[in-house]
Formats: sequence, C-alpha cells, structure tokens
Amino acid sequence: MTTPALEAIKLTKQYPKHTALQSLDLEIAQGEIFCLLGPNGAGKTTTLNLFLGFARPTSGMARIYGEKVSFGKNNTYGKVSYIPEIVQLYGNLSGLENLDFFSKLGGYHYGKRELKGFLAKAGLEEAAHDRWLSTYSKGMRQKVGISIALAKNAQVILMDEPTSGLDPKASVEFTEICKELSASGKTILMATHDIFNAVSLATRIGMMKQGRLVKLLDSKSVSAPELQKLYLEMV
Amino acid sequence: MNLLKVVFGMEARQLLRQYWILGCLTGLIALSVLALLWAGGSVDKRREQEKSILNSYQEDLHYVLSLFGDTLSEKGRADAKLAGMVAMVNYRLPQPAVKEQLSLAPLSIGLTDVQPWYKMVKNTKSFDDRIEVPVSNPSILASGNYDYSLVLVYLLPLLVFAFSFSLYAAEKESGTLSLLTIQQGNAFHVIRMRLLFRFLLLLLTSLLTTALLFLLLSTGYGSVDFGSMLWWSGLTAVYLMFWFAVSYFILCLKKSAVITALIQISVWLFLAVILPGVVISYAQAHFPVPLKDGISSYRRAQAEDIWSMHPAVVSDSFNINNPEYVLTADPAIDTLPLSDRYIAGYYDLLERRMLRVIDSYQQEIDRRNTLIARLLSLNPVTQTEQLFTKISGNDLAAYRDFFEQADRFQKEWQGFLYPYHFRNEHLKPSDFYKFPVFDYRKPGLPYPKILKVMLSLLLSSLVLVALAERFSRCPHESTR
Repeated sequence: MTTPALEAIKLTKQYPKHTALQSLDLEIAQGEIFCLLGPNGAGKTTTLNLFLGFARPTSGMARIYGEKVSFGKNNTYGKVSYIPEIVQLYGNLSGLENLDFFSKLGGYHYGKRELKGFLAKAGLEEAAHDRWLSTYSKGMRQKVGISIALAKNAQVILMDEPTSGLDPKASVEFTEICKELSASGKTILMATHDIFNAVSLATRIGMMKQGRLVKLLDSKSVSAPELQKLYLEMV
Repeated sequence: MNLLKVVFGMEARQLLRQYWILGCLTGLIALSVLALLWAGGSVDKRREQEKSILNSYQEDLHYVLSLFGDTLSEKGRADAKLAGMVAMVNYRLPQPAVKEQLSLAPLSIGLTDVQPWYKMVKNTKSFDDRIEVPVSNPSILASGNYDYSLVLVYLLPLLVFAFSFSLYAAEKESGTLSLLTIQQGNAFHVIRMRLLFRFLLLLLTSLLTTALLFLLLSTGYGSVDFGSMLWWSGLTAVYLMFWFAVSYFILCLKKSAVITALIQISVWLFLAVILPGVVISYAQAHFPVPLKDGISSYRRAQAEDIWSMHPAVVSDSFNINNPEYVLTADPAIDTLPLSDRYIAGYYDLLERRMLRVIDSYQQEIDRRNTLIARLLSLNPVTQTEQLFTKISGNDLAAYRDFFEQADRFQKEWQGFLYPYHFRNEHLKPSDFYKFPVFDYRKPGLPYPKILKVMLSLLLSSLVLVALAERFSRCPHESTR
C-alpha cells in the first residue's frame, strides 16, 4: 500500500467561538487533484492552513507523505508549494525577478533561461517576463505563483481559491496547467467555489459545510449541473 | 549568508525603483545641509559679535594709550594722569572674556541662544549672570534651534519608522508572507534581513552626510579633528541602531501597518516629548527656579549694611581675607573713609556675602538639574541630544566651565590692578601691554560620557532585539 500524499486523521480545529473543522478524515493519493468545495466558512481554507502548518490543530493530525505537519515548524515545507488566493508578490519586481527571488529563498538557484522556462510553462507570455508585477492582471500574477510552485518542484501543491477573479480564458489555461502538473505526479489540493472548474479539473471533490466533509464525489461520476444542484441543496 | 545575499539583492533592486525611499534619503541629506546653514548663520552672528567685542576693546585700548601722547600741554598731562589711574582703567577698559565657539558648534547649537557667552571683567564682580538653568527638554531646544543634532535626534527615527512600519504588514496583506514561510521556513528571517538592509542604507546615508557636514565645517569654521567626527558618527550609528531595534521589536508584535506605525510614533512621542516634558514639570514642581529679584534686594541690603560699617572694620576684613596685600597696608590711610583699601574691602566683603546666597540659589538649581539628569538618564533621546551638544561644546557644562574660567581671570585681573591701587600708583603706558589676557580653554571631548551613552544604547538595542527574537519565534497562527 502506497503512502498517501496528503492525509487528514480526525483533523479538528476549534476556535473559542466556533468549530472551523470537525474531525476530517481524508486521504489524497499522489497525482490526484482534489477540490474542496463549499460556501464561505465551510472549513476549506482551515484545512489548507492545517496542511501548511499555519494553524495548530485542536486534535487529530495532518500528514504529508506520512510526515506529520507541525504548527510553526518547517519539517514539511520542502514537500509543499502554496498558491494563495491573493498573489500580489512584489509589485516593483518583474515576474522573472519575483520567481528568481522566491526560488532562491527555497534554495534553488536557476539560470535566467530556466526561470523563463518555468514562467512559460505556467503560461505567462514572454513579453511579460520582464515587466513589473504591478502591471500584471490577476491571472498573470497567478501564473507567476504557479511558476514559483513549479520551480520549487514540490510534490504537493496547495491552492486557495486559485480561479477567483480570473477571466474565462485564464481559468481554462489554469485548468490545463493543473492537469499537466497532475500528469507529472504532483498532487493538488485546492479550495474553491468554482463548481464548473472543480468538475472539469478534479479527480475527486469534497463538499464541505460548517467544518465537516459532508460528501465525497468522484468527478467522473457527476456532471456540473448535478454538482451545482447538490451544492445548492447542501447550502 | 546566502539568504543575506538574496534579500539584499532584492532590496537593492527595489531601492532603485521605489522613488519614495530615494526621496527620503535625499531629503535627509538636504535637511542636514540646511540645518548646518541655518545653525551656521547663528554661529556666524555670534562670531561677528565676538570679533566686535574684541575690536571694541582694542579701539578703547588705543584711545586710552593715545591719552599719554600729549606731554606738553597741561590738559594733555591731566588726561595722561587720569588715563593711568586704576579706577579709570577699570572703568574704561573692562577686560573681555569670551567663550569662543568650537568649530563643531553649528552642528548642535545647544544653549548658545540662552546662556551668556561673554563677560566684561572688572576688578569687582557682577552677580547678575550667576544662575544657570539647563534646557533639558529637546523639544524646547527644537523650538528655537534647527541644527544637525535636531535632524539626527528627531527626524532620523521618523525615517526609520517610514522604512520599517509596513515590512511585516505589507508581506501579510500581499500574500507573500505565506509564500516566504513556505519557501524559507520562517518569514521573519526575510523580514529581519530586509530591515537590516534598510538599517545599513540609512546608516550609510547618515555617515556620509556627517562626513559631508564635517567637510563643510572644516572649510567654513576652521579645522575639525578627525576624532570628533568619529565619535559623532559612532553615536549616530548606535542611536540609529537603537531606533531600528525598537522598530524590529514592534514589527515582531505582528500588527497591521497602521497599528505598527501608531506604536512607533507613540514610542517616539513618549521618549522625545512626553517623558522630558513630564520630568521638567515634575522638577519644576519640586525645585522651582528661584527668582533673581531676591538676589538684587539682598545685594541692596548688604551694600547698605557694609556702607554703614566703620572704614577700619572694612579695611581689616579685606586684610584678613586677602593676606597677600597686607604688606602694602597703611593703617593711617586705610582707615580713612573712601580709602583705596576701604573701597576694595567694600567690594570684597560684598562679594563674599553675595556668593553665600548665590551658592544657595545655585544649590537649588543643582538639585533640580540632578533630579532631571537622574530621571532622564535612561532616556536615549535626551541622552543623545545632550551628548551631541556636549561634543559641539554648547552644553551647560561648557558654559559653566567658561564662567569658572572667567572667574579665575577676574581674580587674575584683580591681582594685576590691586598692587597699583594700594600703592596709589598710576599705570604707565608700558603697563598696559602687561595686562593679563583671557585665554579660553576649550573643553575636551567627554570620552567616558560618550562611551557610557553609546554602550547603554547598544545594550538597549541588544535587549530589544533579543526580546523581538523571542516574539518572532512564536509562529503567528492563521485565523482564516
């Protein structure tokens, strides 16, 4: 039996006034694209934060390739890349410079050609590589975020609402990139509101409500309208 | 080392593209040069006055000497006789004692505008300028003086805040904080390096500005020793380090940019304005500055009392208190009303009585000064400000030292004139060239004090950084 890329065991996060995540049990295999779907406050971002070690679990544990994620410790950071919902980065550095900076922070010293390769792979047109990030659209910034994840060559990529605010073209491009990453063995855990994107992209979909994983679906077994209906019924 | 290189490279790129940073640095240099010109104007004016006093004295001296020129006419002989009389010399040629400005004076004006800086010395003392009150609140100094020390003490911390207040919050708000954490392991390593870069940048700018101002000083105000520049630069460096340590500590509280800026400004206001203000008010309430009108009325009363004494008693008191002049005593003449020894005794007794009461006034002021110094001894802002003023030779101690030198010179002048006086002898023209001359001894650099303040600033900075390190190690839990 192979070790799951991501694993949550009775993972719970309670805040003084509410429970953000209630006893989540989940296994995500290598190469999977798993979408967490749910309304605001369902516990999607909390799940990501617990896998990232940005929040301390109240009980249970999160594991990445069998290694326990500890709050505030960097033992699993080498295996993870993260694309936050807002990818602002440094506005007065170019896309190339941002990528170079974050890669070097991660301990990777790439040449210019390699860096441009990552940006191109993430779908950023070459003319934009040397422009300041402050001139980029959200979709273009998202691509720089993806290129940072690519350059890190991490096995697991966690994404928080990556398609929110993207135009349809950018959204489709993003879907294609994620599929390529999955095909190359990367595991993706994504929190999203985008039902159509989830159906077209994910291998599995987890529907969350009030901190609980209420439904686990195989994306091949459900169409977008059916998923939308289920979602609306759940909400 | 690698992280340092990476972050410094990124910051250097950003520096060239963030025009506000370049603008701030240029502004710092411009304000510093302006401060030098502004304060230099004040020092120039004072130097002109110094020259004017010395020139006037020379003119008076030439005039008095010219009175000896006519030995033929009766009027000429009478003028010459009068010109050589001790009383007339004392009246016509009071000796100028001037506190010269150091070449560093334009950097920190200090008490230049507040304290008397020259005395016209006669063989009797004036008591009007004896009470010295320090200005210990930099904000009071700031209201009248705009100089380079003001730029360093007040404006430099504000620039530190501008360079640092958003370092954490901006990373958090732009989403880079989580990326930095994932990429580096601890986002605060990167924030620390960014702060270090900005510290070095501001330090370099401040030191270059100081070097520039010293260069301008040496061309405009006479030679400036290299040691002074080193001490000044060293103090600037540790003072800047202190404010960066304060900022680092506040950054480690991980608050929003607005809250961080508010805390920084509050700390600055507390140390630079509120604390000195409260200390001064407290000292004023406990040891109010005594009014000088008490001195004047006491002097009147003492003068009348001595005047009513028998001339023999006054003369005897002079002989007892000044045994060096006993040999020239002649009881038959000295006991006469308005004899030379009686007049000298009158002023001698008056001075002795006045000094007793002035000393008690001064003790009150000293108690107040000591209290203020003690309460502000841990305040880095006032300590640094006072030290800059000390290095520039314009602090209270320098003025007090000048008065002590002037007092010693007054005794010397007295010692020169009294023998003529008691022998009832007139000065000859050649005697005028033997007058003692006041030679102001400039204060040396207060090395122990500078070292003490620098070490305390360094220690405070280290404590703040250590505390900040503890805070930054506690991971910030995401609540989203």
